[in-house]
Amino acid sequence: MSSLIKVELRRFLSRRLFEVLSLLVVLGFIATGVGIFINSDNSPSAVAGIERERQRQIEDCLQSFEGQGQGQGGFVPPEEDPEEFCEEHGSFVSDPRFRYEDLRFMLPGLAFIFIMLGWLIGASFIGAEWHFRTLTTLLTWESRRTRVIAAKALAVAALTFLWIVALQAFFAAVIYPAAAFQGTLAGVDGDFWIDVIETGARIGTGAAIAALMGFALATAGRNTAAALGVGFVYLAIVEGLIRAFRPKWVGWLIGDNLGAFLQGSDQANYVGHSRGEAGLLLLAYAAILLAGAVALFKRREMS
Amino acid sequence: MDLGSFPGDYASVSVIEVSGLRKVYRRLRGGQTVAVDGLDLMVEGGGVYGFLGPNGSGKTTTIRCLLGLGRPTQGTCKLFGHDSTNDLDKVIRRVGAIVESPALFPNFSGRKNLSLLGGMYDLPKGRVEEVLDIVGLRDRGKDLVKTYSLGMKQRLAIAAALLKDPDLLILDEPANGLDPSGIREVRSLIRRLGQEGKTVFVSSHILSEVQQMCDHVAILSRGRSVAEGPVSQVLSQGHTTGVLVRVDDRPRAQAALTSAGMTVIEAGELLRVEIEPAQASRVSETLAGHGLYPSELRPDEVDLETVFMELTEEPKEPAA
Repeated sequence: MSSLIKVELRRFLSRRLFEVLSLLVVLGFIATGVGIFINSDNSPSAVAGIERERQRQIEDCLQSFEGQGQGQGGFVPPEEDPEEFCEEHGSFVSDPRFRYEDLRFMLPGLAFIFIMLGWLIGASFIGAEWHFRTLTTLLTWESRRTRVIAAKALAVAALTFLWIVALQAFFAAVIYPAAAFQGTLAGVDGDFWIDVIETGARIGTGAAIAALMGFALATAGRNTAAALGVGFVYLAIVEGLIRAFRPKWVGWLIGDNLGAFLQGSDQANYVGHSRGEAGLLLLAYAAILLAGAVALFKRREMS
Repeated sequence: MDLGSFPGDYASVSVIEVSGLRKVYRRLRGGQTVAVDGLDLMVEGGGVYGFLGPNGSGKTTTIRCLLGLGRPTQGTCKLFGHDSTNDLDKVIRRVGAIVESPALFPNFSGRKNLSLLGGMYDLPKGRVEEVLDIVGLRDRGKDLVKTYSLGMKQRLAIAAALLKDPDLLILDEPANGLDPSGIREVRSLIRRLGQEGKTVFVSSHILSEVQQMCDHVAILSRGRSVAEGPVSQVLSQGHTTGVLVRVDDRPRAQAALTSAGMTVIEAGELLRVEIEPAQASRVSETLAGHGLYPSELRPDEVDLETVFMELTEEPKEPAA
C-alpha cells in the first residue's frame, strides 16, 4: 500500500495541471505583492498627512456632539465618553500604509479560490485517469480496487492540504516586503502568527475536503466535468433553493458549513455548529461520497 | 536480460482456465448482447497461445474477465489456478497485460509512465531502461507520450506489460498500429518470450503473424470457441490440401486429370487438383501424356486465414 501511495504522490506532483495552476497562482500572488508594494506609502509626510486628517475628523466628530447632547436622542451611547467614542469610531482615514496585520483577513478572503483549486485538482486527478483509461492499466498491476482508490484519495487529500498551505505561505511571504519596507508591521506578534497559522491550516483542510469531494464525484461520474458540474449545480442552485425554501436545513449545507469552518468561532454560529462541528460534518460528507464512489468503482466494468 | 523461468509452483496448474464463461451486457434501452457464450479454454504453461476471432467475437471481453476488469455473468476465469473475480491479487504480479489500445499518460514521458508503474512494485530503475531497450524506445524515453506515434505507444504498452517480468503475458492486439518492421520485431519478441518459458496469450487479427508465432490457437466466433489446439491440428480442420495448375486448355486438362482418377475443380483461371503437393509430378505426367504442358504448378496449402474464414463465416440467409 505504501508503494502505491508513493506512486500516487509522485503522479500528483508531476501533473501538468498541478504545475500550471501553481504557476498561475504564484504569478497572481507576485503581481498582488508588487501591486501592494507600489501602492503602499509609509513616508513621514504620508504618515503625518494621515494623522492630520485623522485628528481633523475626530475634531469634527466631537464638534458634532455639541448642542446635540449625549444619551437619549443623541448618537453617542450614554455610557460612552464622547472623546473615547470619536477616537475609536470618529475617523475614516484610508491608511496608505499596507498593514501586514491585515493578512489574517486576506487569507479567508482568498479561501474561495483555494477551495475551488482543491475541488478542481481532486476531481481532475481521477478524471484524467478515466479519460486516458490508465485506471485499466493500473488495475493490471493492483487489482484490489478499494486499495487503488484509497491510495489515490490519501494522496489527493494530503498533497492538496500541503499545496494550499504552501501557497498561503508564499502569499504571506510575497506581501511581506510591502509591509516591511513600504507599510507597517504593527500588530504582528505571536498571537498574530498563531491566528494566521490556524487560519491557513483550516483553509488547507477545507481545500483538502473539497478535493476529496471532487475526487469522489469524478470517480463515480467517470470524468472531471461530472464533478465540476455537480459541484456547480449544487453550490449555485441547490443550496440557494434550500436557503430560500427550507431555511431550517441551512445547518446541513456544505457551503454554509464550509463558511462556519473557515471563519466561524468555537461557539455554535448561525448554522448551529461550532467551527469544529462544521469541520467534522464536512469530513463526514466527504467520507460518505468517497464510500459511495468506492462501491460504484468496485462494481464497474472497466474498458 | 534475465526473463526468468516458468515457476515450478505453477507447473502442474493451467496458466489460464476459462470454464463456461458467459458474459451478457444489458443495453440501456432494454435487450441484451451476449458477448461470450459458454467459452471453455485451457492454456498450459509456456509457449505462445493465439486467440483469434473476428470483431465482436468476444476476445477482448474474455481478456477483461481474465484480468478482473469485467465480471462474468456465468462461469469462471482462473489465472494460475486463482479465480480472477475474487483472488486475482494473489497472482496479478505474475501477469503483464495490454487491453485494447495502449492506456498511458500522454503528458508524461515514456520513461515516467514506466517508472510510475515500476514504483508500485519497487522495481529497480534499471528495469525501466531494460524494457525500453527491449521495445526499442530507449532514445525516445524522455519524450512525452503524446508525441509518440501509435506504433510507439503500442511498444511502450508492451514495455509496460513486460516491466514486472511476468510469467504470463496477455496481449490484446499487440501489433495494432505497428509498421511491418515493428510487427516483425514484436513477433520475434513474443516468440522469444514463449521459448524462454513464459506463457504469452495473444489476441490478433493478423493471422499470418499468429500462424508464425503461435504454438496453440483458439478461434472464437460469436462468443464460442470453434476450434482449439496446436496450430497444425487447427489447420487440418480446413479444406484438404491440393495443387493449383495453370494450363491453356482447361477443359481438356480437367478431363485428362479426372480420367486419371483425380478430383479437379475450377479455381478461377486455374484448376485445383485435390492431391498431396508431394505427388504433384503425377499431375504434370498426366497432362504431358495428353500433350498439355502446365505454365504454373504450385501447392495450394491451407493457411490459418482460410481456416479462420471457414470457421467464422456467418451462415448465409436462405434465399427468399
